[in-house]
Amino acid sequence: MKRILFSPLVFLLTLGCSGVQEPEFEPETNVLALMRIDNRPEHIYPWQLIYVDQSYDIQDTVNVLGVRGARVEITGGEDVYTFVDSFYNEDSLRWEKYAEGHYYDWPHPKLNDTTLYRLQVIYPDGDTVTGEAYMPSAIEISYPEDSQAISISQQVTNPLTITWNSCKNTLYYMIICKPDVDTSEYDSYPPFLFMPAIRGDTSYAYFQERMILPWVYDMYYVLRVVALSPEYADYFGLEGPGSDMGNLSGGYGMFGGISEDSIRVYIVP
Amino acid sequence: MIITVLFGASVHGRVLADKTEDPLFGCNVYLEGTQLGAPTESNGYYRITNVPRGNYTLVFSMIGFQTITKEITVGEDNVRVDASLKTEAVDVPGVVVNPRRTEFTEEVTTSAFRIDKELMMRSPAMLETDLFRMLLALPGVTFVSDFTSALYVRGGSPDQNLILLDNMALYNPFHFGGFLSTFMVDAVNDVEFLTGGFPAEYGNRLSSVLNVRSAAAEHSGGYISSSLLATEGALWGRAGDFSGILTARRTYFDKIIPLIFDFEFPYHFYDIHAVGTWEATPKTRIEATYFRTQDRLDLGEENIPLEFGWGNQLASVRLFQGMSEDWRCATWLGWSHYTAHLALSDFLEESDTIDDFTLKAEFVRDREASTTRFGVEGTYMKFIYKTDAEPFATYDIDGRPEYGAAYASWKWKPNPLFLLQVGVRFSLYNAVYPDTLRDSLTGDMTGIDTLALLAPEPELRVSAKYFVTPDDAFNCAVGNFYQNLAMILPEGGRIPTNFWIPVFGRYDPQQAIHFILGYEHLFADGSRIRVEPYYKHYFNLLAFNEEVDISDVDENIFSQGRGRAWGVDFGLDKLTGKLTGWISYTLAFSRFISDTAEFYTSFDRRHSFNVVSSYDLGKGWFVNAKFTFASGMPYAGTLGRYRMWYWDPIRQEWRYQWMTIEADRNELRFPPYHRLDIGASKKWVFKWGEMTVRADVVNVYNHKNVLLYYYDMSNEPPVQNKVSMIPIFPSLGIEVRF
Repeated sequence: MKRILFSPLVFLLTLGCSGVQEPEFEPETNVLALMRIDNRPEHIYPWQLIYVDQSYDIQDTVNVLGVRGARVEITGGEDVYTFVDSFYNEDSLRWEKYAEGHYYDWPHPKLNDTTLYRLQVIYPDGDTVTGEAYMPSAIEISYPEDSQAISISQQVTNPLTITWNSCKNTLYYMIICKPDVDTSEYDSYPPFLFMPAIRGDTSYAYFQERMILPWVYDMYYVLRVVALSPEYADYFGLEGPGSDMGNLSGGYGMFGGISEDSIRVYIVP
Repeated sequence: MIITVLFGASVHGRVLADKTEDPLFGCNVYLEGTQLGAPTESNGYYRITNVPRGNYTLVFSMIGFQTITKEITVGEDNVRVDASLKTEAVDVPGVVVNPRRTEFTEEVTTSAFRIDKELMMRSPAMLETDLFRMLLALPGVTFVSDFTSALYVRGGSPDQNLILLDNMALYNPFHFGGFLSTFMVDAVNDVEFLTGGFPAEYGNRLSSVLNVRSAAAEHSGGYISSSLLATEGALWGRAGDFSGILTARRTYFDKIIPLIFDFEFPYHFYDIHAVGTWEATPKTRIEATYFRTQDRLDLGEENIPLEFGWGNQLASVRLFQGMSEDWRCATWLGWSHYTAHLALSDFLEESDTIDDFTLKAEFVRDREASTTRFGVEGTYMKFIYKTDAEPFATYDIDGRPEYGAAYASWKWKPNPLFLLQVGVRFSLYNAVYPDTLRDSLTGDMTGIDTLALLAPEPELRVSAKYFVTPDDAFNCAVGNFYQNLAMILPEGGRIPTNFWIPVFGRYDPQQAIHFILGYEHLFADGSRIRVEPYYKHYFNLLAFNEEVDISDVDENIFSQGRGRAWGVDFGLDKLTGKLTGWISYTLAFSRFISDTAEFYTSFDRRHSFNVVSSYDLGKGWFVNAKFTFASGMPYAGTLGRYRMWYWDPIRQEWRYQWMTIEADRNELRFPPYHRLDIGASKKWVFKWGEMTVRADVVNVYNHKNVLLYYYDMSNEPPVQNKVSMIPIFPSLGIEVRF
């Protein structure tokens, strides 16, 4: 009788002792393929960079970041662009490797805003990552003009307007104005004028709108306008949390594009 | 006749109070010189089974009443003997005889625990003796951390527990940090805790019922006590037909520390519990209760500008009437008020206010073999829940729900072998929300459709018990339950949150169905062993959505889905003799299932094991101990990390930041929890009263139970840090009674 009574209990105890299996970490692929489009006609050196990486166990010390030996291609129409992790150094007359996980364009892709581009990354172990995107149009600032001197007042009612051409395949625009100094001097001139996220199909912004610069220097500034493709804007978090895994099939990461133009302006206090 | 031959004849009858003719509950009735006897149940009836033929002296004994004896002769037929007991002054106020045999032979409700004051007083204390800390060690109950006394019963969340004080609902009756509940033991007469399959008189909750009954004064007296945490005092007295108890408790650090140090202690709480009784006529008794608790934490403007507090208020009047020999009725009228408030500088403000106005009436007919019960109740509620965390979330929910219910139940004991209880409950929930939901983005006020939700089907409650031998019984229970409110309970929150809202908008009332099987064995000394497998199925279960879309909060503040909870409770207790205590083991599984996800709940604790013991060394010395082992709770933790690259248009360079990869919801487990508490007390008895000194040590071997993990991502590799629960903590207390 007691055996009958307690046998279901023993069964349930056994079931309970089996417990819950803790998940084991398995690395995932991680690719960032952000194509940069600017209005310069040609680049002599490799210009586009794709990062081929993976995820890592939270408790592991990571000595080497990135993945070598992957096959990286972007296809647009009938054009196929290969990205490589090594190059032939004509000075030393030998093949040399880029930094771990860095894949540069070879040859330089000519990107336009009407072609659907497809990314394919095949990892050394056979894992494959794919993605597709349209690129933003090349952007060009139409006003102010390069090297123009402009005057800014915090109290103006009719503020200076920055204008550019409206870009296709663009979800956000960023406007940045930074002192035209060497990178090492950036920290001496904070903060910059920074309009980080104007959403939608627009082609102008008011200069001092969202201006965080409390004063201006009597010097040259670089005024830059950046168009962000929807894929990059989403990955960058501009569309809210929850989508930072990106738009690639087969792993983390993103395939998209940005388009940049910049001019020098002289700001008169 | 076959039953009589198998089990012997029975001696049965009813015991009433001589003056009031009220049924006496817990009167010991036994045959002198034998091991045969039984206490009376709540309707005054008793039954002593399996009595061999012969002549006996039948003794009726109950503290507070004169003992009487009757000579009887038992033959082949059952014998009925009734008795009326006269009151007698005694020195021990409010002590109730443990009616374990009655509970076993006459009560059919499964998963029931009845705890009297004496048992509470002998249980191990942590700073102070506490009811909820005791409940946490019972079979079927688990906890999430040392910092909350919230009860997680058989895979249910704390908001699924109906907590009643004198039959009126209370919300969150425990203090900040979870050290204590708001109930002071001396103001409590007894507690009924039903962990599943509860009868039809209880509704609007899915998991369990905790009914705390206030004590009544039998004579005059009082006490004052002090521990490291609080000072407590009580007075009670009786004058003619009137009696009353006033009990109060307050922490004192916020008053004393500023006198010694240049420091304002930021926290205090207080409790007040007052009870009055008027025996208006021999058959009419009126009782009134006032209960008030308040917690307040205010870190001030100079430190972290955090202000947090909550409190309960309850006022109720109860009328008990004996209508005839068999019929009695009771009426309850009460107001229960709950408020919680959280403010973090100007960034966040969250508040919750609930007012319940309740009227209940119940009629009971006691017959020898059956008890019929039917009643009605109606509650008008005011719920105001506000969150202001601009620009992230700002909304008001202001509702006036009405809840009404009617129920009937019938308990039948056709023979000593079988007990059956059948009940049905019909409930109505009418949620009215005039234009009171403020849109978080636009600031516009919008209304929610007025809902009239009739429970789509009656709530059926059936339980039965079958006695294999006079000391062994199988029982079972099936029931369905509805609930129309929920608590905002963030997943994995080891710190209590205290904000309730009613079911509204598109959400349906939550529903659960219980299936319980049980086996019970009662030993001769009243010790009991009990095994109860159970299965609960939830429908329309609400889980707080931590990723709530603030633009549409009424539509997605909760995820609604199904749930399953199953497991086995095992309990062995011994409540008499020098060594008392219990061993409990709970095996539990708890799953939440929605259209998009299925996961173990954050309180899915697989194993809970408790040993609670107390030993009377004599000469006023008592020692006690409590050991708890519990397997790890689930949490949503970090598994991995990856680099998120981006182009920095300011510096014109590539940069990256580390992003974490989280495990699936509640996929990881904390390490097992274990803790040993010990205590000792010494009581001195004087002519004027008695004095007790008590010493306790919490977490004797200073085990660092994990409260939560977090990663320091600035290190390579990231360092996992943990926050531990309560370390070793000694405490002292003194109590003087007069």
